[in-house]
Amino acid sequence: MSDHGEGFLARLTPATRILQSLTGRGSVKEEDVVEAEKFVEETKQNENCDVFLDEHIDELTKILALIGDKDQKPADLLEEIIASMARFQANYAMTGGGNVTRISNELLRWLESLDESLEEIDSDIVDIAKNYLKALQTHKKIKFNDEHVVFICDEMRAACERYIQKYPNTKITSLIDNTKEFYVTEKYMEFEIEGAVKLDKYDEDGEEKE
Amino acid sequence: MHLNLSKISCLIAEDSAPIKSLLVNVITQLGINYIDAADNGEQAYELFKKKRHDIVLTDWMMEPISGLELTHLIRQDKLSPNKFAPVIMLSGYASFKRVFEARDAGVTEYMVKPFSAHDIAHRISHVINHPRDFVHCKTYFGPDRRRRVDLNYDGEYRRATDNVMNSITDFIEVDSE
Repeated sequence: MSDHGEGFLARLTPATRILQSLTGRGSVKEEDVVEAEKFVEETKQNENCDVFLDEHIDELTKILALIGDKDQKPADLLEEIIASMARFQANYAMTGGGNVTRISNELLRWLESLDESLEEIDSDIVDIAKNYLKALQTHKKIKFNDEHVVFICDEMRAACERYIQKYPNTKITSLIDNTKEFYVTEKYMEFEIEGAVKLDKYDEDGEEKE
Repeated sequence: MHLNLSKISCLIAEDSAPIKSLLVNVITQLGINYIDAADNGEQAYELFKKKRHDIVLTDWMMEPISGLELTHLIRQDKLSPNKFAPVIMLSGYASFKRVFEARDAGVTEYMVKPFSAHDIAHRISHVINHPRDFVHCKTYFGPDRRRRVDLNYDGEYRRATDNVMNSITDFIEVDSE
């Protein structure tokens, strides 16, 4: 078996190399990036981020109400919680939601790191999620300041650590961030390599030549 | 040296209006003149079929067709006009499981939201400066999923292109001595 899966057919030089003939090689002009960054800041200042907060609170309330329902698969519910948090965390932060996304980020990254090992949503996970929801509902009313956020993040982190202490066999997987190289993993270097065929079998569009 | 992005086209697929608008502004400011924006994967693919964009930026979570499904269409659909288009996935997800899922769909680069203009500029310049060969097999069509040369790999290289890999490895080893 090849590392690309069974039935490896060809390695193709992509037509996207043509892009370089249009753009040249190099970096984007720094002054353009600085100007573009201003749009990011403007969006943070001008957009109404509360839409995303309301949406997330509604979604999470509905999902948590379904936990324990025999017709619902725990894995699917966990998936929905993570999806809702990921959407909120991303959109709220990009539209100026500010510091409160640090709380979401804390729990989201923790849940994502557990995602592959959790087979059910136990009462401790539900507890943590309910407290997170309560935090968001409180934020909606009083708007947390930095001190509040730091306090809640610390509490959230401590709760997650207590969970791991309680269930020491829980497998934690690492997460990526934008500063690290994409796809870096040892796992994908372990496969055998075989099955290569003549490269001229396919044209640049990936179609088999006649 | 700076990239001249004025001649290439970009397709944006994002269901959140403010983020979509932000992406259009950022991409425009970076120098790309031809930009189309869609609310979901379905709209995006219709535009892609008509205009054969050079680069695609897509959100993951969209209805009725997600960014992952859009990538599948771009890479696998018979009607896709540019199966080699670099696809940059933007997502709130940060776990390796999701990254592998995106990678196996044929995504070229993956960015975790929230992002900065610098992140976008960096990924665009990366896909232009470092285009990867594509791999075609029964279960996958997309950019080569291996990114690194493993200098400690001591197994046999049996792929037709691996004589090049051997040369590179030899070169690096010789160079490091």
